[in-house]
Amino acid sequence: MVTATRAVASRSGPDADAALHAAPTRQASAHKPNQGPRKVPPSRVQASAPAHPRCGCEGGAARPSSSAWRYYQAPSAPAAPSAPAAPSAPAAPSAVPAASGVGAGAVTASLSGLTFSASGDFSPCADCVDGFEAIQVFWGTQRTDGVQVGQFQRAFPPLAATYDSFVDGGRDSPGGATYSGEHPYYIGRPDLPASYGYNSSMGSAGSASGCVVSPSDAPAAAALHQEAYFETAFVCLNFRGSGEDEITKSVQWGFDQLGTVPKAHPRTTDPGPIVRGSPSAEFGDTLRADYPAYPF
Amino acid sequence: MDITRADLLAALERAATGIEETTLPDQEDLLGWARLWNTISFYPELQKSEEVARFHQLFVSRILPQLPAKLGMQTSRGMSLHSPELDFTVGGLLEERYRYRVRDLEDS
Repeated sequence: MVTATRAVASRSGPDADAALHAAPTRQASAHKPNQGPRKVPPSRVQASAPAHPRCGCEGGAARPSSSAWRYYQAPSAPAAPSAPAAPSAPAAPSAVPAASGVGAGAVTASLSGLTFSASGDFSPCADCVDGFEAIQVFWGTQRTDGVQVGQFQRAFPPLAATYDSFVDGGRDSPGGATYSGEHPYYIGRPDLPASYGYNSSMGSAGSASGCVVSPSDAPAAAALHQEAYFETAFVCLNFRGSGEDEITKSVQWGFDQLGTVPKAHPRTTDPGPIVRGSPSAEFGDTLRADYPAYPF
Repeated sequence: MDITRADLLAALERAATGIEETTLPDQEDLLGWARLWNTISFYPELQKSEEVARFHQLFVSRILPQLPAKLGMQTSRGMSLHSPELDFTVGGLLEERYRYRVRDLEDS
């Protein structure tokens, strides 16, 4: 029986981050995905992306630097009150009011066989002008038949393995992008404004309605990777009309041994899913690799 | 395609035996088993039963790894496996056209 159904274990906040933060590597490869086994080892280009203004997580050493980001980690101790900004004059990241229009989020997640489902309720969510979406990233050891998926690889030091990585449903995803432009979202919402560029042929991997977002997946191809991991984050769209998103909580889940053993992350033996108070540094790296201009 | 829970469980039992005994499954076998696997993946509550777990274990360990080579399937969205030629997807969004609709479970 290869079934694991697990109640949510909340391991949120910077402590959960700390163990996972290590100098990330990002390697570019000229090999195109789904074009057969890679013939030439990918060239390894060390990335040196700048620290992100919202999460401050590049390189893994820094704590989240903005009040907006901290708000999601410690909703009981918000920043000093200030008036919410009008959409035409978005608030600075450091001006999250005490009575913010985004709930801290109640997240549940489960894994049964290869089927993942999660749900996050972020009520109230008046600050999320366009509601919620999800962003899902993938990290997998090289496929057993040598085919590369995605455009990049990364490592999880001190582990020796290299992992193919991409934003699932994103522009470098083997299945193509769910949305056009700088919209790396996973689920697929036909109700979003046309400016998001939803590709309706991609369908919807879950649902998002109001303040509740419920991504789901059944990654059959996990059986082709000795290890296959995902991190699925909940995203507040168009935060206070600023045009930027707020990435809130995330869930780590995945498999070892060709999809047969649940395992949440390369560096843990925990079967997961693991709910985090904020996305990992590796999540940020993978997101920036595929979407360097995505504002979040 | 609708199916009853009882018929599904019977089909899963036959499929599990088929996977164990068939050394060279043909395209029809593979797609049939894939449709069954999509179905149990869509209804996780089914996976608590022994016959479903047996089929799942056999399909994941023996059949899924064959699909790229035998059916030309490529990794697609949600780490599904998709064949444009056959217009069939295993896993991922678990769309209704690639699985059965279990009447008993839809009604409950």
